Amino acid sequence: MKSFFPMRRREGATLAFLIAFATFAFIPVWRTVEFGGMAVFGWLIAALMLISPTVTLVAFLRRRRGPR
Amino acid sequence: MLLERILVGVYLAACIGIGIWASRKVLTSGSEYWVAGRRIGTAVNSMAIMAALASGGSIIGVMGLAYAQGIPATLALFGGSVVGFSLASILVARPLRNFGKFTITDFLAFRYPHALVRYLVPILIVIAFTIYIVAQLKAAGIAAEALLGIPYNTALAIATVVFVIYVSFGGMVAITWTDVIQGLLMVLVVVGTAAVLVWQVGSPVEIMRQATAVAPELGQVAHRPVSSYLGYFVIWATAIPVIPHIVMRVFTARDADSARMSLNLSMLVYSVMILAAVLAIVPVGRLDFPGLQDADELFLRVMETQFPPLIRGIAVAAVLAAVMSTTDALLLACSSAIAHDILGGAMRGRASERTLSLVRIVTTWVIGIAALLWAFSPPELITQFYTAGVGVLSSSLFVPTVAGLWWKRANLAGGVGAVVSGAVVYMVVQLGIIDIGVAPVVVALAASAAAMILGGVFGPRESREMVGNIEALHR
Repeated sequence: MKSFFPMRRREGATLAFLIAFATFAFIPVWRTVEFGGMAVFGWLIAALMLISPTVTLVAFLRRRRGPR
Repeated sequence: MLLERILVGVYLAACIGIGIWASRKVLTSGSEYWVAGRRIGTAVNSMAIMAALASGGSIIGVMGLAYAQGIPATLALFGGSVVGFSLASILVARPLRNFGKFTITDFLAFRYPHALVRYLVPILIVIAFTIYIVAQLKAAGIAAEALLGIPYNTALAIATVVFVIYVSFGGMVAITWTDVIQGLLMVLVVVGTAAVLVWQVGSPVEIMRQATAVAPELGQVAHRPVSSYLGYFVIWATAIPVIPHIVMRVFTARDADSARMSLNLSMLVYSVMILAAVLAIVPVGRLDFPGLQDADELFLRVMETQFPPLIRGIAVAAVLAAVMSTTDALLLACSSAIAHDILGGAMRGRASERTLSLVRIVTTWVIGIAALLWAFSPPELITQFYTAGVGVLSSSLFVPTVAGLWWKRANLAGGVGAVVSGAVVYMVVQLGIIDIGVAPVVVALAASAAAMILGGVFGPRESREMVGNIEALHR
């Protein structure tokens, strides 16, 4: 890992979580399963739109308050 | 329509007034003009960022796209933007703000000092952003035609002249303050309209149930190839960290923390607005207007039938605000690509500040008029159209920017290769010259990453001085 500049652990974890959530949302099975008239894929992306800025904001605020 | 026209007239006059007020400050220096002297606070920057991203595409286009292609695929596109802001906050905001210049080209030309990067990147920006501006102008034209009764071409000309005046004379200061007003206006109108509709029907889930009972395709995505909406998502997720009009807002922030905070706050507001539009206004509109010829008219039709003239006037102002708040930022970024990145580099040290100021103003007018002429014959489905344009930028700039900030082995060969291969592969696949059944942006990003890795592994190692410079940006 010396080839990369170090990233703060909390930010790395946030990044990994968002990529994992997005990957989960794009799993093909959610294209056909429906809830409330809409494919679950749509609901997952809607949730991601709220979760993504929230977790990034929380990670950022905790980094500012706590030790690096 | 007199009341609506008066309201819109007052709004346009206020924009010009802000531009003239700002011109006293900004015409004296490049730093003031391009990045507002780097004094913009977190709250103001948050709303300005939200407004810069929330374009005509985010009000007119998002509803048109959801109406024509279904809600899940549309959310994929706009969800990509939101995730892109998180990527921008984590991957690029701090080091780019610490870099302390004006444009993304400044960084790439510093990291990969080669004429190809210095000149190709701004040319790609101008191409992509002119497409983006044309799409925004179409939104302004159809809004004014539908709700104010002003002919499409006349509305285009009026809107263009107004925002070119305040951008060319007021620079980033004028854009910031007009964007704050415009952002507040569009959030108020879209979220307010959605709240009224939800109150009338009962709940968002009930609205969705009623609409999908009549038009099940609204909630479906299985009939579409995965590559199409995955492509939407990836384009925007990778574009936001490098797209010039957002990156310039990072440079306007007081410091790196303020830049990151602004990015995240703006996205929360943006998400609420998009979800309100797609999950409440679109289903109601689909029930009331089942056979629209031009899906982009949906929001305006809903406003026409549901609300009195005063609210409709505010709604037209909000659509114009959405268009202008993005178009002004695009225009400034486009202008900076020519006046700062290309001409500024060539004239550096030889031209006076007065000459550079004149170049900035003339460049803005030329780009504005060129986009206006193109917008007289606009394309259909504006969101798809400008997303394709933005794809060129994400394909060519994402990998070299992120690798340049985080990978110590990123070097000149890899950087130049990543920019060129990303742009070329995207255009070849997007234009259908080679059809490989995968979203063009995914192929182009892979090609760009491959070029970066090959250059970094087999090319000469980056100098210690450059690695030290980049390391300093992370502190």
